[in-house]
Amino acid sequence: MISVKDLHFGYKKKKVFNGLTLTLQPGHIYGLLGKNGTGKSTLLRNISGLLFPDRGSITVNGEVPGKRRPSFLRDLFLIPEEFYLPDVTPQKLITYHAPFYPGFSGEQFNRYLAEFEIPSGNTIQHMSYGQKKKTLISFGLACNAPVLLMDEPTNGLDIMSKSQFRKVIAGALDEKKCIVISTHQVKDLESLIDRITIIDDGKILFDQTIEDISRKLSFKISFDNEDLNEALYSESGLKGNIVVGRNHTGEESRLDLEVLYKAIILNQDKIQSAFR
Amino acid sequence: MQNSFSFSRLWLLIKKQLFDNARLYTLSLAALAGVLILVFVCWGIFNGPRYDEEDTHVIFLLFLFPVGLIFASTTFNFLGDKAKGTYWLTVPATHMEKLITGIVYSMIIFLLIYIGVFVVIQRFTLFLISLNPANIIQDNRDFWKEIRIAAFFFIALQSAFILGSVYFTRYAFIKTILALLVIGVVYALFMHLFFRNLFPRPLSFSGLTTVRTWEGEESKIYSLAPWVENAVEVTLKYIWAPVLLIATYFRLKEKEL
Repeated sequence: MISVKDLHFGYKKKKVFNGLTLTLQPGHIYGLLGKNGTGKSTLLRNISGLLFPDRGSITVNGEVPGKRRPSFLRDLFLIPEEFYLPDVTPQKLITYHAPFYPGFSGEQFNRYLAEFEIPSGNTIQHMSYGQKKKTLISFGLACNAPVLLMDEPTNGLDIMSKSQFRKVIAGALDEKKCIVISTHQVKDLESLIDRITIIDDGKILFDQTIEDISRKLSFKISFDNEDLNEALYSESGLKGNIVVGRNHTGEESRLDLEVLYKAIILNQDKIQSAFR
Repeated sequence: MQNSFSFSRLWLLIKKQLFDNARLYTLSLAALAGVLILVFVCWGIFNGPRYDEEDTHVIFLLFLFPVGLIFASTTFNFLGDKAKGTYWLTVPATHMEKLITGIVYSMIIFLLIYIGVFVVIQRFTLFLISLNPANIIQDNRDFWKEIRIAAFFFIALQSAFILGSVYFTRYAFIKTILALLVIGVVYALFMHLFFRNLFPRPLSFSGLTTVRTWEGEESKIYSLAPWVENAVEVTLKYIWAPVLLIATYFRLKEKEL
């Protein structure tokens, strides 16, 4: 569905991607993780046709994003980190913006707004930042575009809203949709994504499904020195040492995304060895 | 979905543009009407008892150019804002439809509204003046025929400012003026050097393709064929706006955010 091949991209003074290759399939929620400035947003903007690759190719459902053809723009909805919505009520958005998206469902939009507890009578400029963002997320989901890209969607959302967000996104996924969520707040994606892609220094550092990770790695809190010695990664916490090790028993442990992320960034070779 | 030009999508875009900018357009219209009313009130008060309609046409042109060009320079200035630009570029429509929507508002609707507001205020002011039998009003109804050349010039300039609104991400109005000045100076210098080398001095132009030179008491006239004169005139009148708008289209297509 989304195919990125040998992507080279850079801004005037900074090279961001140097041969990045990635394939994203429908029916999944991808978590695109990485430190600030590693190129997550740049990758999403390349995929959505707002930036053009210097070299390499990107296709989305067979379309070249950079051409920004209507059929492509209809099938991809981007929720950027910095976003704009006109100063109107959410219902007016349906009247004037939704007709560009043939798959748009007003009923779904209103349902998502209700789930996010957005007051329907307010114009968007009279909403808080979080409410505006939730309105945009609701609109993006209601467009039913096969590809939904979200750049730091949980930034500015309170704890309850983050929980609502996870619930709404999980409910919106079907086998035809590909949802990509880029974030550096890895905790927000726990129990939501089914594949993790970590970008660092313009390269794919790690790309595995949650299922594989749970099968091959174990996460536990331990005081045992033997566990620490065998650990692929460990860190001390308030309750004891958090240990990431090989899963020898086949029993699935609760995946701690934040610890996994740190383990990959700080101890990549050892973690990768578990997947070879 | 149709990827070629679609009138139904263009209509949707035109409606959306109005709805997205309704407040801005309303305020701009009110400001324009307010300023014109103020100017006409002053003109009415300070010019009596003899009023020349020609004066109002000067007012027309004096406001048309700055207001029209400022408005044109805002056509795509949102592309300088990442959030607004993303919102606009990701709307499922072709670049041509988006460009035409900009042209419809900045050139066609603006001009119609400006002329409409001006004529209403002008006619109403002249009507009020005519109520006093001591006042004398000098008519000039040929103005609309006389401004044809100015209209071509205005449309070409508007096209340049629309291109500037895509090309320059910030301060598009000022930067477009500077760019036009630089181009104008370079062109004038080129022409000056070109003719100085081509003809003996002194020389003067008569029309677009005829040059008269003097050598003492004698003068010579160098003239190209009349059809060349016509072709140059037509080109100068009509070519600028399409060329600049085509450049805007390609600039929109290659715009990155």
